[in-house]
Amino acid sequence: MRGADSAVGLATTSLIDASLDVGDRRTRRHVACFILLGLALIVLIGLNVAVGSVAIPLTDLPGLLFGGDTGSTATQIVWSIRLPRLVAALVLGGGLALSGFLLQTFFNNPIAGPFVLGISSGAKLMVSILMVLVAGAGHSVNSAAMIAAAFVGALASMGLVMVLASKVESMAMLIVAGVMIGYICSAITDFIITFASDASIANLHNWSMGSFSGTSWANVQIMTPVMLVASVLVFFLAKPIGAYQLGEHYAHNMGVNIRLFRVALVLLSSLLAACVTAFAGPVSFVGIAVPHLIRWLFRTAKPLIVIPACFLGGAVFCLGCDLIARTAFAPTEINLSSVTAVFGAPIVIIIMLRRRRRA
Amino acid sequence: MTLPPVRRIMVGVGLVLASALALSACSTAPISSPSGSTSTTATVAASVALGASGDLGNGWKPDHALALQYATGFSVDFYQDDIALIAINEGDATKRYILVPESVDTPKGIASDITVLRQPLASIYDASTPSVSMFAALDALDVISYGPQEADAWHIPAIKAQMTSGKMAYPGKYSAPDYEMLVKDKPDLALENSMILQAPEVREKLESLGVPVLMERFSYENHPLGRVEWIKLLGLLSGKLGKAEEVFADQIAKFEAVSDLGATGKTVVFFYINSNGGVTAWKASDYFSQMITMAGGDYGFTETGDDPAAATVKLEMEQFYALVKDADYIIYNGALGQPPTQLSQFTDLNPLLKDFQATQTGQVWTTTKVYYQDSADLATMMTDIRAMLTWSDGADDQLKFLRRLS
Amino acid sequence: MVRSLTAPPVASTGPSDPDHGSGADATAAFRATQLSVGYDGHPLIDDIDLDLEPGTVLALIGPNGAGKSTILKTIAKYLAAIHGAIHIDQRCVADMTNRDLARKVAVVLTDGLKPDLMTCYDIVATGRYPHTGRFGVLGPEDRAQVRQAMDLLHAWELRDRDFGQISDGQKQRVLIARALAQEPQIIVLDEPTAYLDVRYKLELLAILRQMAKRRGITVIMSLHELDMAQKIADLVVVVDGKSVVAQGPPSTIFRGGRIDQIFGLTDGSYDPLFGSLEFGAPVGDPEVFVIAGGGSGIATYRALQQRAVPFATGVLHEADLDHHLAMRLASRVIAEPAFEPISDASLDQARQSMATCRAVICCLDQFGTINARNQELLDEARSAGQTVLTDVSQLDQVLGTRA
Repeated sequence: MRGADSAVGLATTSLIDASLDVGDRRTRRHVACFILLGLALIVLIGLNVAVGSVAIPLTDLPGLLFGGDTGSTATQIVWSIRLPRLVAALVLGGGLALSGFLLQTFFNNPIAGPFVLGISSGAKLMVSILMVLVAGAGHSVNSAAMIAAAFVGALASMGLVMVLASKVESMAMLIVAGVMIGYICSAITDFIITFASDASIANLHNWSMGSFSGTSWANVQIMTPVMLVASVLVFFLAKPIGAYQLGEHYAHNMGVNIRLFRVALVLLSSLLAACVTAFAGPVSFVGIAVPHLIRWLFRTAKPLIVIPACFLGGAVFCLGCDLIARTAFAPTEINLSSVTAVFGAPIVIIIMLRRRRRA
Repeated sequence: MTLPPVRRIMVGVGLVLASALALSACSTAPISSPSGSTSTTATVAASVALGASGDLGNGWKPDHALALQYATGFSVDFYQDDIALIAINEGDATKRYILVPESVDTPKGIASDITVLRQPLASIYDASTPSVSMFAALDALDVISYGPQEADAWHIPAIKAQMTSGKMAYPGKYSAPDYEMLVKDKPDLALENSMILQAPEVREKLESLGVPVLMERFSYENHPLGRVEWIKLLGLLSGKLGKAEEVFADQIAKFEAVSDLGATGKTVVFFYINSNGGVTAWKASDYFSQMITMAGGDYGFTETGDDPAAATVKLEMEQFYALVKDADYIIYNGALGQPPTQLSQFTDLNPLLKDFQATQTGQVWTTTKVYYQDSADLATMMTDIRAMLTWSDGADDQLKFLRRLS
Repeated sequence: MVRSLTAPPVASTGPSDPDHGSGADATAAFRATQLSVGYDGHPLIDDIDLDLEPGTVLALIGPNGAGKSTILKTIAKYLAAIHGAIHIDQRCVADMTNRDLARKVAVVLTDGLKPDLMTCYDIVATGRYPHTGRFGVLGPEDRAQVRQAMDLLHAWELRDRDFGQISDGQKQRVLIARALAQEPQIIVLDEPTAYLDVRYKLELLAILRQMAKRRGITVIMSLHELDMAQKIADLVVVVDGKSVVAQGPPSTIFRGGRIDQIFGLTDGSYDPLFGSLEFGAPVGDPEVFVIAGGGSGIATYRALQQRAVPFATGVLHEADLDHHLAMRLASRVIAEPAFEPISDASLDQARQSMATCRAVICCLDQFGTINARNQELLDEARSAGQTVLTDVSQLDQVLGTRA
């Protein structure tokens, strides 16, 4: 047994070590892909800061970002509008991709996504209650309440699913429970909508398409630690996930506590998905498409590599989609889920076709 | 079906009672009884109690209040130097604003909940479609820098021209406006309607960017003239209060002209077929139904449904048919989607529709798209309704706000 | 109930000298006491008692559904034992954490696993998990073990290949290498040769035995192939869905008729000498007489059996290969004790039997000293005008049979 290094040192060397196992070719590929992703991230961050409906000269940007210039409209645009939005897209996109990866591994199902356990339906139900029955009746609701409601709804539906699934000791039951809870929540939501005004219906629809618009620094201050901590915890699960990829029986045999592992995995993926849904609504396709993209790019399923890569990939994907959503038809914003679907769905289709051919 | 948190109800009720006590004499026209008797718009010049907008906070006393006859959703107290304290009733809270003339200093020591607005409010982001026409009626369109919809969506030529000439821009949907655009040329005020209640993050974002938000609530006014009276607030904001009073007086006169003509004894119902194939019908307490009654018609639909706060009732066609099949006139709400332009399109919406008496006598009318954009001119709707009620072969049936289907 | 027997001692190269006695054995690698296995609290097999030395190869045999998998799953702790205890290295398995157990027991299963994008090296490397640190990163020691395991299984050349794209035989080798890399004391395998070609079957079992003997790893596996179990196991345990029917070294289990009884063979039999399954003898009075000996008659006997033609054969010598098979397939066998020249009595019997047959097949070209008198039989047949053939295919025309 090796002695325990400091977690940070180990994490750093582990990433390099993990790829140094066999085949320099693989290592080189992994390193190259990480560099590629890193570059893409930097480029997209840069684009998201520099590009918007208001043109800001590139030369002014460093001064705005790092200088002390406060108060000009350009500063306000960059600091109060673009920056919080891009941090949200980065952090939420990364977490969403991780959530999708976890669930795809867990269910060994290539089209499992972060919301397969009914997360988004539960959140939508709570939001609809708040929107239709409270705000729709004329009472004011602040955004914190909306966020909290969505979060509570998401976790409540996850809790229900876990309780149901624990009665039957089967994995298939989890998906069944998730889908059923999703249907029940949707049915109740539809019921609420029957009595709703057209305005409420329109607003609820807007919410359910997902958006990073209007993100404030207060939002960022809450979502970032939650997402980052959850993501790091996922990284710490890399070893049992790797064992799990061989199958439950093998994982058990290699010493993984299957019960605890399942719970941890469902909890973490749900937490990630719930946080995204709370702050940005249900953003589709990121969780399904990005893990496939990463596996295709890196040619590996090794969790030590795939977990950070998925986070990066999700961040890049969301930053790109958000940029398009807000600039393509400015000033009108395209629905974020439309953009992610347009890019995400073909990816999933192509990958499915490749699998069929291989199998 | 409503499940409001109990506490919010108590607070809301308390505030409403408080403001009702403060606005001691505010009359509304009596709602017509189902039995068919008409009521007139017996207007009583109300004396709104001074101080209805609450305490300024620095010990000043108001000089006079803005006289309001029908509107209950807002109040204005005037102080020295024409400083105005505006209070908007937002249901369970009251939002207050102080409007300070250009040459006057902002008073010190005012209550912390009051938002300061300095004249001139030269640039307004108006996200509320109905209010734009009010600004137009005040010749104050120039005040609006950002409007609520694209140029092509406007049926009012003057507003459309304002947009195409670039004087009014469209910054995106109210739920996801282009904040960058709004920050670059920052408006002095954002005028929103109650849709924003369900997208609170937009309001919060605008305020954090330094754009004060004022939510107009005239769609909550039950009385039609109560709605129109909000033009006084918009007049105040755009510095055209005098003109607003004129326009409003003109509207009252026209209303009275029509209602004085008396009852016709004809029944009218107002509804539309919703996306589920069911009927959404307006209640008798809704402002439009009241206009029908004031114009001399008899509103034929008396159900009130489960939700007292809602303006409409949803029901199945069979039920609706049984209740109102003998109505003399049908007005179909043409605001949503593609309204029918021919009688055959109307009857295609549901097989029972052809069995309504109004259909058989050819008295199916729809509201025009421009009606929903022209809330400043409800009086014309009154005359149109009267025209409908007294329509005979040969008379014009393609009016400004109502069209007969044939 | 059969009492537990210790497996024969292992010629191990380990430091400790294996004890010969049973009971409190310091080197007992695996002990099951009064073990009861089953699902959901319903016992399937009761009273399993095993006491294994390190390096024992145990084969679990029995009909389908007899509970072999259940026993293996219980040993690997996928299923809770319903009753009784399992001790590995004196420690009770029920008290062990998953992690502790992982260092003692490795499994090789038949679930068709389809891991995505994993090379064979990756698969074998997962075996090191109980030994690696928090993130599962392999150190030099781990890499060495993986290399060693793969070398032993001749899988090193497969290391960069995608696991999903190799043959079943190769997959099994990789999975066993994985189990080996785990450095366990016990390897549990469920039907390891199930989908393998004959060549791979042999290879695999040979490797397992080698592993057991060289490294002292106890191998517990279920097998369908009785002949393989007979040849490769030190200890055979037979289950039938209700209990442990028999337990002991192959020599006691694979004995005349015992397998037939346990497995309920009615249309044939199991031949423990060669470890082969034979179909039943054709029914009826002999129609063909076969003169054979020294193994020459085997093909003919089988061909006749296929055509369902009852036959008699002689004069054979006991312990002759032909005699061994003829005892199972022929209606009548006339035999002489081994190495004795053919007696008159035997020859008479053969003559009589031959006379009642419709045809005679002679499988021998020439006769030796001990069976020289079979020539007389042949001559008699010819002179009596009986159809004498040298090949079974010729028989088809005579008897109207088809192959």
